[in-house]
Amino acid sequence: MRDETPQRAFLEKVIELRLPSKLGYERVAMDTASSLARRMGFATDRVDSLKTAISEAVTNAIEHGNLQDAAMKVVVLLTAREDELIVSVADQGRQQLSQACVFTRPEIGEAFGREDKGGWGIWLIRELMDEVEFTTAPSGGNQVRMVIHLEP
Amino acid sequence: MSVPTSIQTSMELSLPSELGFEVIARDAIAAFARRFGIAADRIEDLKTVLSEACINAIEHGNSLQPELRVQIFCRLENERLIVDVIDHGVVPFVIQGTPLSMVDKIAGLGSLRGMGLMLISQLSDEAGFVAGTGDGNCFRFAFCCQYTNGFGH
Repeated sequence: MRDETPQRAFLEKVIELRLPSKLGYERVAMDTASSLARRMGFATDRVDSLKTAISEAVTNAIEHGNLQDAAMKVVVLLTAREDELIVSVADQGRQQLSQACVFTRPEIGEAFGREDKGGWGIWLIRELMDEVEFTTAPSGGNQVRMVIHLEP
Repeated sequence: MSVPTSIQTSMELSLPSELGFEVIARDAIAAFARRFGIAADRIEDLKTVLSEACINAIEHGNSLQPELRVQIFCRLENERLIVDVIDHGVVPFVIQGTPLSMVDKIAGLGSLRGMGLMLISQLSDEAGFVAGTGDGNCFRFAFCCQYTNGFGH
């Protein structure tokens, strides 16, 4: 559960980004998040992890959640706290994410045998971020909340 | 039904009204502009212009109140990259006579501050305050995209 004490809330700085559901715009989210993370003091390898995770999350939102309908938006919220960065990516839920996808752990051996080599995004996000949670956005769409801790 | 191109090629960014966050906006808009193949030197100009516009919004329009927000709307329309920077209008923009030139300022005839709008007008293809939808100031600037290399939107 999030800590909502007034002192904590005061320290939060939120950046909101609204992007069209078109592949390629994940680059804008990646560069915005990495710019913020660098200024917060994250190490280069952690910034790279963040960029990969946010790229996967936004790509999933565009391709699956919004089914590449460019009129639909992907909303990225970057919440900077003193000791962590919270990234929330929400789509408009043209297609609901199945719970089976959320906990999938793909096998590389099995993937070689498949024509479609995709399906690694959620697993990658879980590997790279410190906390990951899949929920429903207030708008009714899919939402992934990812947290990366700033280590001293 | 096809989606209008302006919707497919637009983005919105909302920032805390605090000096320093304009740097994040610079990186966001640079990534947006790169999608349209705009030349690197023009992207540097775009970043400078956006910084100046954001600093004006934070310092003047929002009067350095950190609880307020700065909204940035970017879109590609008729081969022009158009950016609106909107503040809360705590201090509405008022034209104050003819501003001193940079040469006059450097010569000591006035404060060295207040060069932002001059810089913006030199670097962008079009700039000025426009009527916004709310009470705040809406500063709009545009860059022509004649330098695009043909990559997709």
